[in-house]
Amino acid sequence: MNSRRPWFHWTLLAAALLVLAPASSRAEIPLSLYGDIDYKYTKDQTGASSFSVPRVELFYSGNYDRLSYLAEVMFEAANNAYTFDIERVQLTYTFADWARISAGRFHTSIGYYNDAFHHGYYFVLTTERPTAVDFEDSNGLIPAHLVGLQADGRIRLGDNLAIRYDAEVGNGRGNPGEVTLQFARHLEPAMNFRLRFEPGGALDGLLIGGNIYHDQIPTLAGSIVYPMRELILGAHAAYFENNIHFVAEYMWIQHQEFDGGTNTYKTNAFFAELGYTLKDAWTPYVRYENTKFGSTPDPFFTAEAVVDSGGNAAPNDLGPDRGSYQRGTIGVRYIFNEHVALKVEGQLQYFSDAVSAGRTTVYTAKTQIAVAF
Amino acid sequence: MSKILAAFAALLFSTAALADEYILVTSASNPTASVTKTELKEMILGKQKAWKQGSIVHLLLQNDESKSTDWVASQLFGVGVKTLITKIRQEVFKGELAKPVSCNSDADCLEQAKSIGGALTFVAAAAKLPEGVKAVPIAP
Repeated sequence: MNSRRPWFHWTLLAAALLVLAPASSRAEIPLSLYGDIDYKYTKDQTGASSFSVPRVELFYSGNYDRLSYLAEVMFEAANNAYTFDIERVQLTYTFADWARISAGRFHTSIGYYNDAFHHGYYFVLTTERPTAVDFEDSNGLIPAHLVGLQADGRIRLGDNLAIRYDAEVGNGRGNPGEVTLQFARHLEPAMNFRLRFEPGGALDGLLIGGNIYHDQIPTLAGSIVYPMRELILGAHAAYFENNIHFVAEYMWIQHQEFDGGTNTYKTNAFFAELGYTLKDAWTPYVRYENTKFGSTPDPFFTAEAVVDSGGNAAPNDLGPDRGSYQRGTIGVRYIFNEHVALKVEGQLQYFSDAVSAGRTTVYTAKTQIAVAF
Repeated sequence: MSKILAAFAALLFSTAALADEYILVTSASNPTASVTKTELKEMILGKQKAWKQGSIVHLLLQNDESKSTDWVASQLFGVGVKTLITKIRQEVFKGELAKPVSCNSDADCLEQAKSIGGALTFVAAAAKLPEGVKAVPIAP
């Protein structure tokens, strides 16, 4: 017992020095905490009204001159239990404005929304992402995450125009609901390229762009009989100036079977959202979403998701029972301060039933308290 | 008529005073002679990641209740300080912007800016600039 005393005393002394040290001499750990608490009322045949605490997230970002590193770690609710997921891990070196190289797991540069908004809902205007650009384990249509390499940059072409590019190569699609964070499931890597234009002058704040993504989808016993080539073409526009929030995106997704298969599946998705901030706090907003699947269900989108982020089987709501959909959302966000935002919104959705050719209407009201510390 | 002229003169004077209330400051080792308002906005939000001569931008920002941050929000961006701070934090979250270094006062910002080559901060125009930092004019 006595032999521990010197160690104990030194520990006490070190702790006291740490507590008494001036703030400026302490190492600052740039760690942020995000999360949200929600209540959702749904009126349909199966929906239940529920409180939820869907996610808690830790975010770290550090910089050393031209080198930066960020990590986004999330505890996410699935089947009434929390699962653990590392959403982003990104090591970046900035050579110049026109050349930046990143490696790791990042949000794919598809459209505007996917890599502009992440999991911290304090920054998201609405209570949910548009379904088309939702995450792999949440019925999203796009490969929201990519594990691989990314090059991006911005080149100013005079006073009134700048262009931005993103070029990415990575593991690409895996099974439905999966992010291939450890190994690719096909030989050809996924490739993505995005080009955007930023006019200046009176149009300062406007961004217009397009992208092309090419990948493969592997077979999956019982669901996806033939491998498919995936091609995603998209166009988007965004404007964030003068208290205006505007995003509009269109994407065309083609899945073409090969290696014995002959079917081609095409999906069109569009969404737009508009908000206007009043008195530095209130932002009323509206959003419209329209997604049309082909008449023959796409096996990748209709397959049961094999895994979600926690390794659990997750049903896919975009299956044949819930086909093409339109969704209108209206709401308001109130930012109390830099830590808390409150959102209240209503939603009307029409789902086409690909099996019965009928239509389902769903009404939803939702409120969300999003926090950032 | 004289009252109208006096009011007009007062308005002009107050506008000029507001515009000159705060200045942009960087390290003395930064050779940049001036920046435009557009370039400055882009550097604050991480769109432009380096100064023209190449060093990486390091934003030093006083807390959101400070007058200097309020001035940056209203005069440069035309928005409230909460909107600007939310936007800056969002850009950090996206990975587009290095987390701003926080400083507590003009003197603290100036002291820290001395040792950071690409420092970008704002202090009151009346503040005395120590050696090791310099003011950078903002072109329209």
